[in-house]
Amino acid sequence: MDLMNQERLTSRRGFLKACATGAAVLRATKGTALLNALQQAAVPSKSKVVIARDTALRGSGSTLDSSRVQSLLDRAMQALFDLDHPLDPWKKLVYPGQKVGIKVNALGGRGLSSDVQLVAAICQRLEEAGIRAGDIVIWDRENDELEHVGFRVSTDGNRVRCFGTDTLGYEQDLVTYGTVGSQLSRILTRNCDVLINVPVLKDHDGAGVSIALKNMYGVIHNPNKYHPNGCNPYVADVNMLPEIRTKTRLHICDTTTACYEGGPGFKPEFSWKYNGLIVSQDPVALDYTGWQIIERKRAENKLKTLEAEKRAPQYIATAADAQHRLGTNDPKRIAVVEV
Amino acid sequence: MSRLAIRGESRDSYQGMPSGMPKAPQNQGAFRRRVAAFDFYHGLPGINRLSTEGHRTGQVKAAARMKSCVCALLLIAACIGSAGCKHGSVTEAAFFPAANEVAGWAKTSATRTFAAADLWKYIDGGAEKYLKAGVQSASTSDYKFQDKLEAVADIYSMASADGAREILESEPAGDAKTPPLGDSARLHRQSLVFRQGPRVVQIVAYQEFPEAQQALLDLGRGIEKRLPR
Repeated sequence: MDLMNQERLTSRRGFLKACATGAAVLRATKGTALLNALQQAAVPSKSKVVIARDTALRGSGSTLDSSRVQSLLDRAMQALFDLDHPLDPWKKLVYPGQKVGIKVNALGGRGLSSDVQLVAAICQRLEEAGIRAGDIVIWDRENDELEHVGFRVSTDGNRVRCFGTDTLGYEQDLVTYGTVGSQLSRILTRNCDVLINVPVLKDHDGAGVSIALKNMYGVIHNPNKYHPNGCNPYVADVNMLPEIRTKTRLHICDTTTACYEGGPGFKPEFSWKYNGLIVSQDPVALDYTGWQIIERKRAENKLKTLEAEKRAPQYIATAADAQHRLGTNDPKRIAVVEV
Repeated sequence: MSRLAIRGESRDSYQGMPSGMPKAPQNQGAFRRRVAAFDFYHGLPGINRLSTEGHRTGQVKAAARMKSCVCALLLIAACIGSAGCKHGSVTEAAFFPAANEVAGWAKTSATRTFAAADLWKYIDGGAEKYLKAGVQSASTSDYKFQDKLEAVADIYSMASADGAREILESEPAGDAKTPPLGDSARLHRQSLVFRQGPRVVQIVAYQEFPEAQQALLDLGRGIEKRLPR
């Protein structure tokens, strides 16, 4: 969760704590109606999720038009931060001297991975916002996976770097939260002050969907341990690991091509060109919104809901619960903005 | 990217890279117990399994000696590729047609094979479905058709024909055609999947191409001929 949200939470906690004493008195005096009103007043503001689409994103062919991808990204970011200039959102997120990691998703292979042009557009804006090229690292688990989907692996400190965790390895120490205990990628722990998460919108055979929260499985050394029970509560617990939680500032979900069935691998017969991005600082709200998009596409294709198939993404609710508070899955508290 | 286990190192990280075992012996036992609680067993039996009783010095030394012997054998056998993935054994590699064996198709990568326990390294959470259906191994290779179409061919070897049927039928057929191929087949616009005996073959094309379906079918037939009945 980013620093802005943490500050809001702290002030809300402080407010509620101050009310607690009064609450005890109110309960004693059967003033529950007033207590309920006070708690309502402490409900946080809505989480914004921006969906940006461009029907002409691929021009007349099937490959993405890089200038249109840049425009799409700018539009999404400006809407998310409510700012007018394309660089302004990035200047709010990062400042010169910071190391920025871009965690992509290359596991789906070609056809269903974070698009190289989208990532290039992100890097462009980061550099323009003052981040040195060598302080930007695009990464995922393995060099082979990155190269297979079109990234060029490079550790040259004079340019944007791109490599897998297999280059640096994992930290020696286990970090734990709830049901998970894992070693973290040294790319996150030693090469990132800020993490930008660039997942893909896809169906997942076990978890139901795999979007922002589940992309963090690529940060740990043992994701295979955390697939039982629909990846629940593991996905939420992984995202609570301190360095993941504190460093992640933004989620840009690549929905240029998305998958509604048969994931997490690429199944062209169950994929479609959504030609969009979903951007948010609330990964739970983003995942919830992405899930609804997938369900609508499934319905269009006369497929059962994920709930009917007994693989609804339960991990989303877990991520929003009182023990995690990674964001909200309450549609009344999610403001979806389409641009 | 593989690293063979050498004396004193742990292969508990999935890449086979050293996980940073503390050098001081008095700290190693606690480390082993912590990692073993969360780690997945990799590697060869009897070599890399971390023991939660590692604080018993005599057993640790004997295990280390055994590791050295087996690792020496491994060096002789020359393991290639990333941990958990090896270039196809003679059997699996033989399933994939060579370059130009099927008209228009060139094989553009070496065959990689994943044991069941390591399948997640290739298809992540998608492995669960295959494991439940009894997968024993999976092999994959890349292909290219006339410089116009790139594709990947995966062959999953299941424990039984029932397992192969379970996999094929696990996904909706949609508007797939059902060409006469293997025991049962589905042909979509950009992909082909069929089963023959205990094997499931999936070929996925990355581009849309007018003649893609025929090209995929041709490659599928080329693989079918090589599969044992």
